[in-house]
Amino acid sequence: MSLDSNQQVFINEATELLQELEESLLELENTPDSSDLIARVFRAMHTIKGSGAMFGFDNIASLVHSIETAYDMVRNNIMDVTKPMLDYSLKACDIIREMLADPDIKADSPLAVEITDYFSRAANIQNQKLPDVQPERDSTARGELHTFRITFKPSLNIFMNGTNPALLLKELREMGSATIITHVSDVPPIDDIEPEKCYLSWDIILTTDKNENDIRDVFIFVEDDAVIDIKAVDEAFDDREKKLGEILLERGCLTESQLSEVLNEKKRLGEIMVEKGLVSAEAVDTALMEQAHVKSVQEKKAHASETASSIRVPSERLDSLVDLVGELVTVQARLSQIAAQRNDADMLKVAEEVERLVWELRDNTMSIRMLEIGSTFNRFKRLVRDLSIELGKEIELVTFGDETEIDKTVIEKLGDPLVHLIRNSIDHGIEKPEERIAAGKPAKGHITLQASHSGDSVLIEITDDGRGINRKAVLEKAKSKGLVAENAELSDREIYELLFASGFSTAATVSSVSGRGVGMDVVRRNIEALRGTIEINSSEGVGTTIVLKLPLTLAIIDGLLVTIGGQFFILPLSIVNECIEFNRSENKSGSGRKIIMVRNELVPYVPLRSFFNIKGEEPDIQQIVIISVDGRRVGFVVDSVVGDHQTVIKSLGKAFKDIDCISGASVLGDGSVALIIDIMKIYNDIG
Amino acid sequence: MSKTILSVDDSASIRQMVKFTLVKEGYNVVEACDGKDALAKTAGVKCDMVITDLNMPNMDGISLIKELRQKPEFRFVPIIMLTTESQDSKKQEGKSAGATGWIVKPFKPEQLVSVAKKVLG
Amino acid sequence: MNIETTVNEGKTVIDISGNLTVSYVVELHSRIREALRESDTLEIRIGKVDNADLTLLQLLCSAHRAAMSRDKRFDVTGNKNELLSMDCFAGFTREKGCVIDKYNNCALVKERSNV
Repeated sequence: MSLDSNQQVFINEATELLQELEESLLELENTPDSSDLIARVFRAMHTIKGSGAMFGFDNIASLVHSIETAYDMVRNNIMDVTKPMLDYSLKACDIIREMLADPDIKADSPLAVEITDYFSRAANIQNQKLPDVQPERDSTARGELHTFRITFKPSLNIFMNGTNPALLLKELREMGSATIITHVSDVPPIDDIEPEKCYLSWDIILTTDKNENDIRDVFIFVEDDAVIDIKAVDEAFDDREKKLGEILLERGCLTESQLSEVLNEKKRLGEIMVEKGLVSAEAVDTALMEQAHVKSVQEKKAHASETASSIRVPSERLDSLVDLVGELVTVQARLSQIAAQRNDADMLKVAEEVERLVWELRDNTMSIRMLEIGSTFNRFKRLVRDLSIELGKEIELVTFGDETEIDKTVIEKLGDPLVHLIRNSIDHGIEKPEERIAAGKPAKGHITLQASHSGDSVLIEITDDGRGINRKAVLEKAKSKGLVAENAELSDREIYELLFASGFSTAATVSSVSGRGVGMDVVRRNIEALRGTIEINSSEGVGTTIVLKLPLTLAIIDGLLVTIGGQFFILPLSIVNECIEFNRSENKSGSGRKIIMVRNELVPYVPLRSFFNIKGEEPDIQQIVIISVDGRRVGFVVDSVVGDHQTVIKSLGKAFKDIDCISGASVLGDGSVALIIDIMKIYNDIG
Repeated sequence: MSKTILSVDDSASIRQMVKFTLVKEGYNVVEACDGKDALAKTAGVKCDMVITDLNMPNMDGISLIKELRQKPEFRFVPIIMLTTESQDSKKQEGKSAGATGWIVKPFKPEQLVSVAKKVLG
Repeated sequence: MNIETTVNEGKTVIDISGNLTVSYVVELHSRIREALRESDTLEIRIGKVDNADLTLLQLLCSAHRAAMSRDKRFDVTGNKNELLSMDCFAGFTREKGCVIDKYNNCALVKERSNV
């Protein structure tokens, strides 16, 4: 046996302990009543045994075991120290020394056996053996998948001894696929709760290849003072789905006769049981979740046995599905409206149920249309490679967040703007290698494409480590083109804005790569058509970052429903800041400038009634909807604000494609049509 | 930030094994050789977990657990005791003193790691 | 834990951030209890969370129950979704509130993101 460093440390330690032990034993011969000495002897034996077993000296451990037991009894005044006991103890010290030096001396060597026998007799122990590894408390076999139902109700004081029950749940989750249901019904209201106590309990449905004992082991530290119930729920795991009633029956929440009584009625089982007070709503919920869990496990099983994991469908079918869902959302809105008007409790209940289902259906349908942006990113690798060779530059394209999902339609329309922005970075941004080295940068330039989710938007950042935007050059060019006044002083942001002005191109020469007249203005228009925004940040000599913020989907938005002259209009809720009352008489300032004071801030406003040439008399009190874009606030005056509205966007069709400032339409709950105002367009127009 | 574990044992070889095993798992380990030493070393030090032997000179493990649970900063810290098979009553005593759990000696390094993960995350 | 209470026209806002664990839950409890006595509207605003455990969620649930029974408004705002997404709360979040959740503002339900 080769010694590792732990064993070496143990040998040194044991040698010291033996030395001490001998001294103590000799002293004990003179003062056999000294509890201090007895404690010292016991401790030394204890350490030698414990550490010996840890580091592979099982021979020593089993020899010392009986001696330790004897001294423990002495320590507890069950037994007195005797002369032969001390003799054998001293002999034991000798043989332990030999064992440390030569691990081949077994615990069954004659002297060792003699010592063990003596102490066993003295302490009256029947050949106790050291347990090796903890015995298996087995019932179910490992390896196969089983589903267990685990009930865990910890003691009130579980936090007090440093236990974090969440970690136990985490451990269970790591064992397989788990559905965890937390019960909060025992949590007392704020005046009665003792916040350091635990009032929670859990039901866990776990499908795992581990057995019941493995699960029980998770709770080993708390099993004495917690209610823990583990049951296999799938003996044969038959392919039949369990009925709710069966689950409740099995769980002992319900008796057979109660069940059959309920079954004779023709309502949903769970509802009736709750109504009748047979079981709590929480118990039904839990059982339903168990049902769902088992079902999903079965589905997964079935799924795995199929060869194909996905199917291909033509995208038109998806589009028509989305259209149908859109109409369903509209109808559902109508249903909710009618239910609210009638104030009929039954109907409201149904309406709520429908609303929940429609939400779920909508989210599901939308998620089918989501694609990872990675495939689009990959197209650009080739583009960057080819262009950089053509221009004699060394550029590497790095992408992050390839797995970010975004609506298929958005991805399709994103290609062209991205190509343009990357071309710009290659052409204008990244310098030639010699230029970079002179500037103290690595010869190879980098362009980074990064996608990430941010709330209900997707952010796409295009970053290069090139020369950055020369603000002075931009400004001068704009002046020479007459885009700004000769003496204009502009902020950085305003200068970057100039890049989006139509027909602006800063490159001194027009190359085949960029600067072909299709400028940043087109890019911006494309992005805004997707209801997105574009922002430039740049630092001269360091690089440029362009951030595109895009909606996750184009089909449905949260809108703010307003009226002007009896007609409905919708503003995108995402950019709305606040709505305030607008009393026109008090704002008839002599200058005629359309500016209103909102909390000491001057906010320009657009009266939409006159903007759209809507006839009729303005009401005395109007509403002003204030939006905020890029930190700037603008108000839009409307007659009244109705409220928020799940807006399914319908296109207006070819005949109306040239209409400015209206981006689509939506059908309201009562069947009337609301036009969706293209706020960004108006905002940019009034600039 | 790596979590700090206090290892209390009068056996240098156990301490070394505990430290070696836990440091390899990315924990920070502070050592003490008995209860008194442990109390001295925890003064002003934030500990995320304690692993203590029960039989120690000066101050034993049970007293250490009781002392630590008196301190506000240790009220909810997981404390694991190292016991031997002959000490079933000790296990109960330790639990009522406020121990979170136990490891039975002899134990393998993997057992130590899994217990640390279980109570510390 | 950092706790900051602001009272404004019958509405109390309690900002919490940092270590939201059992070691500090007693202090938070007394603040919430007081706020629910004094105000009709209580908002708990979650700031940057370094650490959190079940006692926090349990307390929020308890506060919500008390608010419901006294017909008061109780909302959890700020980094709520981030908090509920923490690894240690797996299985704790709910799809919908419990039976008494009449305003649909159960503390344990993640806010729906608007698509």
